[in-house]
Amino acid sequence: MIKESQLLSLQRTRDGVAQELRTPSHGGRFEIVTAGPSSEFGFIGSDPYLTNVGTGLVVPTAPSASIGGARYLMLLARASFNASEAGVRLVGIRQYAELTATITDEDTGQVNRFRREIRSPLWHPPDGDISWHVMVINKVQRDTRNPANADGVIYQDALSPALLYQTLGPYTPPNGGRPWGTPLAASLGNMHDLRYRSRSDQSERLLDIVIPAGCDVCLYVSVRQNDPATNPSDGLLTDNQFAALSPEDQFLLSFSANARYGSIYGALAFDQNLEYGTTRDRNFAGGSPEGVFAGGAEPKPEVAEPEAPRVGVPPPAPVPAPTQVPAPTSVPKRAA
Amino acid sequence: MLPDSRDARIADLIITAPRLAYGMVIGVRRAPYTIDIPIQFSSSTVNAPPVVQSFQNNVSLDTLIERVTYNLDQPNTFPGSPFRSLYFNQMKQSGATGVGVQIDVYGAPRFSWNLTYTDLGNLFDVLVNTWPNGFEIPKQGNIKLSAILTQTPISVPYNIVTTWTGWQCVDSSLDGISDDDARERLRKLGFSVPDPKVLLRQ
Repeated sequence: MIKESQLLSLQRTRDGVAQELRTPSHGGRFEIVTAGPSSEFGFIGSDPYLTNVGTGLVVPTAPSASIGGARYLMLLARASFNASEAGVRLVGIRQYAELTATITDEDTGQVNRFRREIRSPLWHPPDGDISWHVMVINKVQRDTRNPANADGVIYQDALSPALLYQTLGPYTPPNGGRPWGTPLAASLGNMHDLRYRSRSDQSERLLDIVIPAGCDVCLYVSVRQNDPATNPSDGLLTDNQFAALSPEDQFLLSFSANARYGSIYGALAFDQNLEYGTTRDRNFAGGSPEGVFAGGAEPKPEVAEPEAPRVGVPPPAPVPAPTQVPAPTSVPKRAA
Repeated sequence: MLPDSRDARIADLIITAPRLAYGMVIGVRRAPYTIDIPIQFSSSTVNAPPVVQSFQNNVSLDTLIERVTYNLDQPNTFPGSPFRSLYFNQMKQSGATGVGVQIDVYGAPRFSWNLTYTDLGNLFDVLVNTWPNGFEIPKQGNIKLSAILTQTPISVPYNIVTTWTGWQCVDSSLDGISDDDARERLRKLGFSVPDPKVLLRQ
């Protein structure tokens, strides 16, 4: 506990008081997961609030090949840290992507949607792929208002998960399709695989990257939507060959006329530790580099105890100061 | 001393923000300070991870915030209807905006206004109750505003702009003095100023 005198002393410093007063400003460990609109829930709702929201963002169905090769740029997760929030660390990532096929029953008109999680890290459909980007963005405020903004579709950049656009009809991504910001770490700035799986146990222990607060940390994906016309045709393979395929390839062949990317989600886990970067650590002994309470009275130097006289022992030779060069102890040969 | 008088105001600021009180007393030129924190919800997810925004830069001088206002907009709600503005006006007046806000103050000291999400329509009344004469954001301080949806909006995007208004003393000499210095000088000017040093000597 901080003593009253220390509390008062802290008023002299810019650091002020913190730990024991009211500082729940550390989030502990938390994960931010993508949530966005899904037409599947438009009529039935997805929660007690009757929203149309599902986990992940749905990649538009228009193949990238049909819109001039444009890749869909999506913001999956975003966390914002203030300049004073030292000690925040990115500790985990999760990635999820799936294939989907929508087939309408010709007799009843019922729309059926089938999906398959992509579990092979390197797998991608013939005309599609996904790149993942963990980026750091300075604390800037971008005006994202636009009359064309809609549910989960936001102009240029967003504060929460959304498909980002520069123009709609045809879709073009902002910033030339490249994610905003600078990469957080070399291997996280541009990932082309699903290396951090969504079902990973203890995914919050994968990484330990210090965040250069204040900044925003964003997880973007850039998706080239698959053109089903490029899928291999059903019946291309024998039954034995089909059985040897990966589940993703089997789905692709089984729904060759429809299979494309469906929902994508990503998650960032952060650890905002309580034990580092707090005023308490900086001001009090034990955790501070100064080793003293920096906000109170001047630290008193310890009083050196008088050295007891030694009997029969010669005094040690004086030690030269570190900057002094000791005199040579032997005579140089030339002089001799 | 009337509760709303200038003297009462200075007496309060002497306790909460001595440097700014001293600046007021000696007549340092004050400049208005206004800054926005815009928020945008891109989907109607209720109780989702918060949308977080701050002042674009830390404040460069001690700043006294006296008022926070906000406006609400859902561009896709009742577009073209003559009653559209009435809807937002009523929503604002009701105090139930469907937006929960939590505010953390960064700088010195670091603390939270509220520990859980409070509706935007009610939260800023905390200024009137807690800091009736202004809320000080110290030099290099900032605000972190976290917002979630607590009710499903009629449409998204849901745009909110909070505007923080107050003033700063436009004189860098005030930056160089400490709270103790300000108290001491105010004392010399005849103000009644509590002296924490008395307690320190115990």
